[in-house]
Amino acid sequence: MVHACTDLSQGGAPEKDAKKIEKELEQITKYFGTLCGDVPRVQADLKRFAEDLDRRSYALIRFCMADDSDYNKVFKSMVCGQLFSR
Amino acid sequence: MTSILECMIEESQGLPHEVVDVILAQFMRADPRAAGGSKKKSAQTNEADAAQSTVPLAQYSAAYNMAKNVANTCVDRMARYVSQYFTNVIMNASSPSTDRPKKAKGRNARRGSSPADDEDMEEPTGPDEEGLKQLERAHRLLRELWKAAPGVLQNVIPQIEAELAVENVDIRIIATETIGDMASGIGVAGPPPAPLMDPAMYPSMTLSTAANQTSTWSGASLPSAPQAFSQTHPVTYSNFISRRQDKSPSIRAAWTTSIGRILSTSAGGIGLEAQEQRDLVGYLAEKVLDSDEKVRVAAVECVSQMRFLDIINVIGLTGGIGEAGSVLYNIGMMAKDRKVAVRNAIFSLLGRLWGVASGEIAEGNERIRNLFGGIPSLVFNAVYTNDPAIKQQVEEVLYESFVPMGWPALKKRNKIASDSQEVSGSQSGGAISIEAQADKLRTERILTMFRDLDTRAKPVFIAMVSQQRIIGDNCKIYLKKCEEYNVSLDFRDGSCMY
Repeated sequence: MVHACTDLSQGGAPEKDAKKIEKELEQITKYFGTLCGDVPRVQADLKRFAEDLDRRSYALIRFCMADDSDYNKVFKSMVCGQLFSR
Repeated sequence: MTSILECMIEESQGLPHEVVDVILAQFMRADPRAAGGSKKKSAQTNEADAAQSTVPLAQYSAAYNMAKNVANTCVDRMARYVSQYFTNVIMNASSPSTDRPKKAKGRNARRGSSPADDEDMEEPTGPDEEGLKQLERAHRLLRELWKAAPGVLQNVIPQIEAELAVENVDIRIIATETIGDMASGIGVAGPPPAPLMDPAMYPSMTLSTAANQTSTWSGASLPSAPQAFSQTHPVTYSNFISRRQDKSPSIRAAWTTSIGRILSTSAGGIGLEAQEQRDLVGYLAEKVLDSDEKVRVAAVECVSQMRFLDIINVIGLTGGIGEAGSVLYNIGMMAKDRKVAVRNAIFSLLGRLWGVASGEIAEGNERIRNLFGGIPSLVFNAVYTNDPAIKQQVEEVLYESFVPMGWPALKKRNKIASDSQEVSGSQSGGAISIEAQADKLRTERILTMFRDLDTRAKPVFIAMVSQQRIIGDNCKIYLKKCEEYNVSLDFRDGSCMY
């Protein structure tokens, strides 16, 4: 099992990758923060969302953002998927 | 029974104050909060009643009508007793709480209103707080008396006028609100529920459907003044009007709210003279620009609670969104207000207004287009302040009011038609499918909005649309990072999912 995990981390030390990923996550959440104007709060919220690992929400957001989704698909994934209540 | 009581009142030397209390207490029956739990004083019941307080009373009770008839028939006598009653209340309200007699308790038990007496003397409330509550209750009664039997207040009105000039701000507020409500014909039941202005409704509001907005106003909550307060008590009224320049912002805010009510009820159904109406609307326009945030918010709120038709006919008197000095123009200018509360109120109002008016604008109604067509430009131009909070509000207005998500909510005509659409998305018998119809309507709405955008606003809108793709791409990156992050968390924990 340990070997399998190591393989998955693509050969590098897992700790270093984790730090790198966290830094990248921080960068992207900062981008969204500057869109909304309240950087620390947005960053904290988005980080919590990241920790939740709510796969259904991820899928719904992907539908919303996909280039080939039409209006209805976007609308349904936002409303019927209750995206914002999660 | 009414006739017997009338005879007794006319012919007696004097009525004991308990009798006067009972008669006056009947007027409080029009208050939905008192109607349900007259004997109960528990906080729970009062909360439940407060939730019901927006349900208007369908008709007045027999006891109310009896008291009303008695008061109207024996006007002079009752005027004397009522005046004495209010003098006592005002004196009680000003005196320290320990001196306040059980008389107040008895009155409240009959009226069955709030549990102020049960608020225990464990924590001694300052005399003013308790007194203020009593004063408020008495003034609520005053509003109802004005509606039912204005004649009995002939000696009380000067007392209220005197209250307008006292040092204490709370008392001035109570007096201002009372006179405003009397002029609007609002009684103890309070103002009627604000009419709904939903930008996402489909079909969009038209001038003819707008007339039905207040069809639910009836019974005790229907604002109806028996006489024009401004004509019956001109000095008091003019003193009330001068409160617009009161040094306290709370009073100016209360005054602004009252003016909004007078305008939207047309002085309780009596009607305002053209010049007076123009004057009041002009004052409202000034209040939108007041130095204090509270007053500005009150001014914007009172427009947002008016019916659509009133906004067109009354507020529109001073001109549309593009005409300097008009209420709408001033509201538009304040969209860049530095106070968040004012901005929120303004964006919400403007968004809803345009959303509701969009139907008529699309149909070609020039008047409505002149009044409201400039709203989207104004909203988009606010983005030039480079404030991210404002930009966020602009986006909200766009997605909730200008072109709401899910608009239009078309109903499927019948199950058979919808089934055939789901199968292949094809057209049935030459009719346009629901989706295509919705797309068409939505496109028309966007185009209607776009048509009236000025040269500065157009690039803002186009930029917002193109930014969607960038944000979408960034969201995908974010989600990918989320997943990677979770994987890295698993490693850190020492456990592994795979």
